[in-house]
Amino acid sequence: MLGKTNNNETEKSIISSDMKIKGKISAEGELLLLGSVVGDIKCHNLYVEDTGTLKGNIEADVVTVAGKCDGQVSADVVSVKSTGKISGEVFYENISIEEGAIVEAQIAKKKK
Amino acid sequence: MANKQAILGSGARFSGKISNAKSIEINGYVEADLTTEKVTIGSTGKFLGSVQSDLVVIAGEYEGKMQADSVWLTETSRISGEVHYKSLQMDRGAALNCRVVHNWNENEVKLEDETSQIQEDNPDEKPIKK
Repeated sequence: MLGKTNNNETEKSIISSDMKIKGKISAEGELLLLGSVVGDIKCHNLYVEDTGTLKGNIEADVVTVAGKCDGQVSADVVSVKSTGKISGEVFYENISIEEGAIVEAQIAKKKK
Repeated sequence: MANKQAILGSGARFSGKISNAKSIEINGYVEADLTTEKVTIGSTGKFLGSVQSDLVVIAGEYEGKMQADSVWLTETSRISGEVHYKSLQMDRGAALNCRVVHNWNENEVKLEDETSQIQEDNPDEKPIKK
């Protein structure tokens, strides 16, 4: 029934591949981005899939980028996949960049 | 397909504009104008803004103007604003504080517009659209 799924499921947010969003998103759980977003995102875990594009700032614990990101990324763990493309600024505690990824950004470790 | 289904989770807050979505499920708080094929507002969801959709299912809170072919308001739903519908199902317990209009038939609306234009003595005055 509606709304009676378990908590893990309801805390997950998905922006589907055909969807376009303009505005600010803040989520407590996981956010899966397959579509395009213009605006800022604040959440725990963010996955920008290969079809996903983002123009705006990210503030998250874990960011995985397989799509395109343009803006300021600030996260504890940043991982850029081989299909990922980041431009702008990246602030990280831990970072991993796969072979093939395009990073045209200013990268700096976060100051505690 | 899972890719076509967009979900905003229970802890999510969003304000802005959503376009091009096919099917969307809202369990969080959303302030937006939405045009889509199918919307579900879960029991923890709250939506503020206008909706244009083929199918709307509401178990949460809605405030705004809705235009939909098929509307299902479940027992936990709370609606305020305006609902324009073609077919409406309401469960016992649904809380509505709104205007409910069944005037979807576009041919009828057009016919009415035409007749009112003919009857209009003053052509400068626009006919009142229902």
